[in-house]
Amino acid sequence: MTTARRKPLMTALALWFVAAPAHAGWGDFDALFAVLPCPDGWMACETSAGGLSPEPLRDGSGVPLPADLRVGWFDLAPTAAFSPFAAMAARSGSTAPQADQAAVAEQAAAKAEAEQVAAAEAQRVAQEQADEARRQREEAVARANQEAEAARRMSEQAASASAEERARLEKEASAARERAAAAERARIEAEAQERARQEAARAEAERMAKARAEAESARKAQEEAARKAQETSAVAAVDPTRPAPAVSSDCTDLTKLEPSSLLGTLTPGQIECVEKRVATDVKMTDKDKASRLLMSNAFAKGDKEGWEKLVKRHLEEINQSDPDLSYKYALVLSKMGPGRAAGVIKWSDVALENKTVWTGDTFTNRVNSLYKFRAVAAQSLWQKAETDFAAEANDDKKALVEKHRNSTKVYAREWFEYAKVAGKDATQALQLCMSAAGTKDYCEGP
Amino acid sequence: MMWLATFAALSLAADTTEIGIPVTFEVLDVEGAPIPTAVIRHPKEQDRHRVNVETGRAVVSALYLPDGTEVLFTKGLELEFEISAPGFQNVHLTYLVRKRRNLVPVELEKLDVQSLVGGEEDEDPVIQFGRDKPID
Repeated sequence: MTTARRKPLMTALALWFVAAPAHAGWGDFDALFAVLPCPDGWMACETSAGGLSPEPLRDGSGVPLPADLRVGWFDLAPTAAFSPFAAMAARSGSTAPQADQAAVAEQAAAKAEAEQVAAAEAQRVAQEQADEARRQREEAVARANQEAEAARRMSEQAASASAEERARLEKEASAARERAAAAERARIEAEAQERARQEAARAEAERMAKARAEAESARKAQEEAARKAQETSAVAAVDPTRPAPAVSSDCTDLTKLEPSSLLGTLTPGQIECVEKRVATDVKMTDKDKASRLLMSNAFAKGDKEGWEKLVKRHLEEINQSDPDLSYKYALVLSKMGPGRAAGVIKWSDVALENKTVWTGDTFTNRVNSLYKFRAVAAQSLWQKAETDFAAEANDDKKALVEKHRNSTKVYAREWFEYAKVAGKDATQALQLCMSAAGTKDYCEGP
Repeated sequence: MMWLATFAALSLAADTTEIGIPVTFEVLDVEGAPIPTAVIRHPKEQDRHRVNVETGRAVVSALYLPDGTEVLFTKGLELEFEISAPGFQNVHLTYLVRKRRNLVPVELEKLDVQSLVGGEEDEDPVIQFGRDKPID
């Protein structure tokens, strides 16, 4: 440490030594003046080692000591108050007069009272100090508790805030994951639809090719059979005893008959066998398959009347859940004029009940077409009823006119609304609706 | 002479009864043929006025609204009508009633919705054999 740095320190110490006594008072020297230094509890006495009084003693070095100190502080030498068993010196002098004794007693009582007051005051002060200390301690405890509570609240808020943030982030992450999953699903569905479309196109092409090949082979087989038949007939003409070749009419495996039914080349025996299966099979699914074979065969042959009967039977007795079939039937009937209009409405309704089977554009196109079939069929019924009423007016015909006009109005409005929503051309639907309702307000709605 | 004066007075008295000015609608198709099934309707009137089956004409001189109000046609009255017929496009027109010769020719265009059926939009589905995938 350098001299320059030491100088202020020394100055401070010197000032402290000078200033410290100035701060001391008489109260700081109470311990030096023992009030009752004598071994027998008196204030002053003569012992064998010397006299004792509240006046401080002095040790061998002259250092003042409290009178009741038994050994010196610095030299450990016994003082006049060393032995508590030291005999008291005999007291000389006369006894104080009674008045003096009374005065002494009064002084003693006053002193005792003062001591009691002082003790009470000291006790009160001590009590106050204790109370103050307790109050401070309680305040400190309360403050500490408050601080702890605040800290706990802050930590909870921090925790909840972080939890909310975490929840928000998790929610956003979840939404993002869901969006990503939806996009992925849409992509997968689009791919699946594309694959299905390609597969269907490929299958259709193969089926057509196969059908053409089978038709060709069937044609060749027919030619061959015709040629053989000619030969057989020629042979039979020569040899009438030879039996005709047997034709297989087995229909145990319906799947094997599908190619023939697609070409409309089921033999009468096979048709009869399949018809029997339709009539006798217990399971509706088997009946359904057999009925489909017959319908397909009739359609491929161009037997529309037979096909219509078979479809009607299928839909009414076997299964109505195929909307393709109901739709196709309604489409065919709708081309047959007002006479079949009731059937068009009925089977359009059936197809619309099962429309959820369709998806995408197929759904939109076919549902729109079905609404159209129904509205057009109702309109044809209305037109026919109006013509009949114009030819011969009566109440029954008038009621029929109103019934069909209302049907047309309702169906045309449904067609118009769907076409509008589905993005189809709704012009004709609106015109038809207005034609039946007589007003645009009804058709366009509120 | 006295009889003639009495007849003239009675005729004048009969003329003072309130009647609307008759408006005649003639509903024809684009070829000029009457449409026997056509009807004429005022937007606020519930009843529809049918045309004559032979002539395609309907004469209207008053309207009877649902609240019981009778609207007699008078000169200068502007009227709205909707003319419709099954198989024809609807026509909405406004007509100002004149004092006389109120003939309103209306031509309705054919609405051939029947031809819409079976068009390109109407797919003809292939009926499957009850399987999801056709057999190869």
